[in-house]
Amino acid sequence: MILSAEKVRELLEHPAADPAGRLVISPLLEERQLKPSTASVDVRLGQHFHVPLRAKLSQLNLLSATHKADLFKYKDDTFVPIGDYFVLHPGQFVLGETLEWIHLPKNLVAFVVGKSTWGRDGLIIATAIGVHPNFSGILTLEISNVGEIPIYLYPGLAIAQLFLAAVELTAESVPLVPSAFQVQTSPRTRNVEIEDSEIIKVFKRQLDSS
Amino acid sequence: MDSYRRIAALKLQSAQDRAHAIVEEIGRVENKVYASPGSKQLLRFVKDAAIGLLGLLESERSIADSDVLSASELETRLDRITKLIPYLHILLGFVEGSEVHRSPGQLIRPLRRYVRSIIPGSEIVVKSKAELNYSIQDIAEPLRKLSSIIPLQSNSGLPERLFVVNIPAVESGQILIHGVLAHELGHALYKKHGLAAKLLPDIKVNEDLIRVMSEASLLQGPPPGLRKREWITEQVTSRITGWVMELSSDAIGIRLFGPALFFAEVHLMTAFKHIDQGSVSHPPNRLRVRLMMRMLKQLYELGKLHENLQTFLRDWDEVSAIPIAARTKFDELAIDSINQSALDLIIDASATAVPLPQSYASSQFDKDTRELSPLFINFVPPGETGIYGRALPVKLASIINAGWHVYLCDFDIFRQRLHAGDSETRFAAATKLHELVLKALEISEMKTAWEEAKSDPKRGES
Repeated sequence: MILSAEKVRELLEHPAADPAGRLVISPLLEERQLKPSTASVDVRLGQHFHVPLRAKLSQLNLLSATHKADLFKYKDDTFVPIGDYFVLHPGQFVLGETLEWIHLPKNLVAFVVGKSTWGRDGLIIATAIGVHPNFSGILTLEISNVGEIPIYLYPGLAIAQLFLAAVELTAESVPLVPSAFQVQTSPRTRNVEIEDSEIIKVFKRQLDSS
Repeated sequence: MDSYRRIAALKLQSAQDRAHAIVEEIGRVENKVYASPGSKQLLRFVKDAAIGLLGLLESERSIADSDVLSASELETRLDRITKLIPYLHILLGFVEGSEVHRSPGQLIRPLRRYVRSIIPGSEIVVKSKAELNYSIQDIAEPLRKLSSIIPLQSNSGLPERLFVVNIPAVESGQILIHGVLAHELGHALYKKHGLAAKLLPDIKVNEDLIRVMSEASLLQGPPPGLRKREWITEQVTSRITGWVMELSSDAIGIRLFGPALFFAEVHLMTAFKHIDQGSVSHPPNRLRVRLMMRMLKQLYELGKLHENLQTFLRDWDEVSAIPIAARTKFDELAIDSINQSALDLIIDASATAVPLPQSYASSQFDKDTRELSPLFINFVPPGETGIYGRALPVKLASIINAGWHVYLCDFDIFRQRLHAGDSETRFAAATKLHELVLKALEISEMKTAWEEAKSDPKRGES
């Protein structure tokens, strides 16, 4: 069940004694980020960007042996202090982050969706949407400008909304293994799961030899 | 004389080219994004100075063309102006490395706020440089001197103090180690409060030892006798002057940042410096640890600390009590002068440079380690405390002390909870802790700055 803004407020106002069991969304700079009668929390754009460097790489090939190294060549970290801006050109893609640090207890899950205000201007904020229980970190935002004119991105502006939902736990529920994105402090890419890429390579070899 | 006039004209033209090159270079770099506001102020100053210099050089042309001055007088006159060019290059160099991608952006604003809270009217330029050295340099005074020679348009915009803070480039993300910046701020407060004049007259050199040394032929330098005695005294005095400044800066740093300064210093110093190695400017590390341990014992209730911390501090206490194996005779004399009572003088004097409200108190350390450290262990950067709607930003010293507490007392727990990819090596796990500390500083600063912006009188103006 999706939590109402009032329920989220209640959880924030009455934090659990154990820090691990708390819902944390920090910093919440304005009351209006938690609008009454809604079911979401507005989250703001953070100051870090992970920018693709098109001049450095001709392609991204997840199965390439150099893929991991390529990820570092392909992206560059940029810090845009609040007050400054990042210009996202038409067709450009960048990884951004939420300013807020999100910490979910084991009984909550979250979904991040771009704010429609931005979407109507051509800015698509496609996040990995689902945020698992026990997550701790900033949320990486995959930001694309699909419009026809450049868009100025100002850190500090509300850019996405966070929906929270309760997770039904059973007696057998075990603590989750920390995800690769746990304690993420700036937007990052990760290598694909090596097991999967190795399996796909088997198929590729089969195709090549047939 | 004709030949010199032609040379003088060439000198002027060449100097103008150099000044033009500076203006051109600033045009190239002034649109970069700098993390510290001081960088842009400095760039504006250098640009103004270079333009002012161009004007001065132009006005010298008519004098150079006339026969009023002899060749040597003209050379001296022109030299007064042209010798300023290298200074402008040095000033420009202070901005290099302060670009936003080269300095820890999240640290600059909270650090600037902190510096301005203890030294009002100051501004900072934080730059990273590829050398293992933290330093602080106040360049406001030289800038003012320069502006008294070169007519400027905007020298009124100069801050009262402009600190260039250098952090080692490869350590840029090691936020806990940046705790040593409290020592660097100590330098600024040492000068501001004139502690040298208060302390140095009371630190006595053992004249008998100097006499014995001057009569022996063990040391190089002048032959034994009065001249040698003066020479030895000079060597020892310069050490005492430098060492007292360093030790006082440590003492001030402990008052500002509390145990975090001690933790940062011992982690940085032990990594690459012999514990008994001193220099003309810096005392042996063992002496520095001795002073800081003495202070920690006076100001903090060490017996109540976490067991790991007690063991850590006890080890350092024992090590600091071992006599220093001086590397030179001069060091030996300086160590003899900076004895326990001299250390107490330094500790007492440091209190005059740090008002009580700016001191990091023992009770605050207890509170921070009790309330903030568990948040770090649970991957919550403690940038604000208190429940929603009434949360307050956490102070810089509190965040750094809580971070150190986790590093020294609960690091294994912290590491075990991380994803395997982040906990593979101790360094990787420590990097995560540093990142969390930095995020806490960002949250705290954002909280404070947001409230300030809301009440800014210029809010709403376009």
